[in-house]
Amino acid sequence: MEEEAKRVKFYKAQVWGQIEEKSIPSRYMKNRIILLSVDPYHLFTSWEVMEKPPFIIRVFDFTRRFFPQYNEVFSFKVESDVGNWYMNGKPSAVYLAQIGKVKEGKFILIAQSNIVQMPNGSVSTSRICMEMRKIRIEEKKILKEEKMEHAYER
Amino acid sequence: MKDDLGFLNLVLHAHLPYVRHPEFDDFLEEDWFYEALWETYIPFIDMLERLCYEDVDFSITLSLSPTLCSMMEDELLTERFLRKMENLKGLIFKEKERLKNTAFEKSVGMYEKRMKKIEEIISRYNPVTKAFKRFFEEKKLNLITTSATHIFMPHLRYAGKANEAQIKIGIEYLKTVFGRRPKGFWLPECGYYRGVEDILEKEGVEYFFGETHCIMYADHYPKRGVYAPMFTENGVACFARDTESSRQVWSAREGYPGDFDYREFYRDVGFDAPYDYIRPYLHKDGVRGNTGLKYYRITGSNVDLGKKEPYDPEAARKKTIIHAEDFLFNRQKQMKYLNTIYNRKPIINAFYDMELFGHWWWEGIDFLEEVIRKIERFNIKLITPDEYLDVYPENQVSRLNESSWGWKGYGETWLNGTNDWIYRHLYEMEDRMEEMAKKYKDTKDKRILFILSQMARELLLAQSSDWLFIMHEGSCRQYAERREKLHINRFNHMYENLKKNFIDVEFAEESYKKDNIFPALNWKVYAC
Repeated sequence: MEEEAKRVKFYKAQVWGQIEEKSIPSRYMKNRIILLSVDPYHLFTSWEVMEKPPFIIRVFDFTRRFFPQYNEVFSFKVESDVGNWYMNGKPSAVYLAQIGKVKEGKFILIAQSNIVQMPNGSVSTSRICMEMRKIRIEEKKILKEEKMEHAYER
Repeated sequence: MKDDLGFLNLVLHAHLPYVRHPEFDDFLEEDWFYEALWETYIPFIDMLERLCYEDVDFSITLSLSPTLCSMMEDELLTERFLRKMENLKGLIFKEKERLKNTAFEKSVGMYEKRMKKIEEIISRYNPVTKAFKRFFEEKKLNLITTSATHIFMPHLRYAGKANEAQIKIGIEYLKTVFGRRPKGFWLPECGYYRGVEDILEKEGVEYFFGETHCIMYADHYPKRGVYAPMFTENGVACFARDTESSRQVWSAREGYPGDFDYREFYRDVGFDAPYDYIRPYLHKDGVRGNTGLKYYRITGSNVDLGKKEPYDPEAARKKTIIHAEDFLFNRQKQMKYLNTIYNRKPIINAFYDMELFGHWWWEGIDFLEEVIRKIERFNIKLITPDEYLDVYPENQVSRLNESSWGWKGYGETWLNGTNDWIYRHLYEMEDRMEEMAKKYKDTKDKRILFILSQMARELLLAQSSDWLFIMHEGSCRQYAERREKLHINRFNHMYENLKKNFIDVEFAEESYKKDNIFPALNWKVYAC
């Protein structure tokens, strides 16, 4: 009995295999870098570049965006054209990443990421308190709903 | 109302990933749904019926995810569920003979009763969503929903319209099933990020739910802690979870579910009974597994599975009363204290995964019922967020903190070494979807319309946070990886064909036969 059970399982696996025969794409032929916050202290980046490695990834601190120059926090060399990496960050800071190559001492930009704001990670020291009153009028809502139904038609 | 000490906002989140495999006669992972139905949702409906019949005054919030709702509405799954129950009934019948005059007799009787209840409920409400519709209309259930396939939003916020489409499709689906747009929204995994409120506001959502530090770590110090909601800058309210009430119920160690009199989850007759006897009630592959019949109690901390003692349904039932009273007593004490420091009545936000009750904690539904029945005696009022906002329309405003209710409180569960490889595919798929949606926005070709809607389905299913969660947790990991790969492959196959102007509608139809979620899906949200 148990033997036959194993055979059934094996057969099942084969059927599955056929459906997903292909492996998922390793490259999408695109220059791209994504930056995400994992938690208040960690960043994650994922990239794909259509050129040959090595590349330089530069991470900028955008928190004080009115400074004449954005702060480059750190940069590092990567040896693959498709990859992921985790980095340290600071709570509430704003970051941006760039990937590029260094030619003759100059950084040549290939792709730039989105801007990430890190979570706060602690209780605020600001004691300013704003209050808001929300007026909830049924009529207003009904109008709104009608309007949306047109924008989202079937 | 005048004498009330405060409010309890009870929110139950009902969700399961979309698992439906018509290509197999018997599929192991579909069991998640069947177990949830007979252990949690049907007893829950039974409880609501009883409370309504006895005219108990209550209103609780239920967040029903579109994927779970689709499975409840699905004919094939309902049919399979009934077949499963027939089979289980057969086993119970045999067990009654086998365990006559033993310590397990009472437990068998309990399962027998449950089977009768299931028949009754299904005869009245088929599909079971009908029951939710009824209680929604009677205003006993405040029915809300979550995103289409439970996407973890913070990590896909830079992926074009991914979150917007998820929210729109989710809300629209709930409206087609229940006839009304929900006023509230459950952020999957309580995953909040700044900016999601803009999408919610556009969809007419008035409030959502966040983890404790969503409010506690806001840009401004929350003057009423989590015991009042906070408005985001555009006026959508956030109700944040109270840690005390959640720990008492959630925690398997310190919480109620770990009581020694409660039923042991991991000792199942599927593993205990002689193989030839139990074989017809196992999956077709014949591997020993859960049947759902469990006859032992937890017995003690660190007691070996083999040394557990027989379960006594009556003793367990008595415990639920004690625990419900303890829960309410503690909320009362908490509220009395909060009344001394705040100038308004506190609201305690207690959020739970619905499946905790019944599935993981067998007696959980009885506990819920006791809480609802006894709450008035403790001078606490059950309230829904809309009712609360009518009582207290003025609340503090701030920019809230990105957070989730997952492990460590942020996004690590859904972004770590086990699952980070998925993100570049998800970002790329979103781009590709929008590219094709824009290209064929005005097309009249029905075949292309169909292919695009199936592409959207595959995209949505690939975005489920569940696969990432399972990969992180480790068990059933292979299944989660397969599902991700499957949806990515199907999606890319359709995209590439469409790009080559090769219209292969058969492939899309074949995929639709298997994954038929959201039949009326509108992919045009990706085009605007």
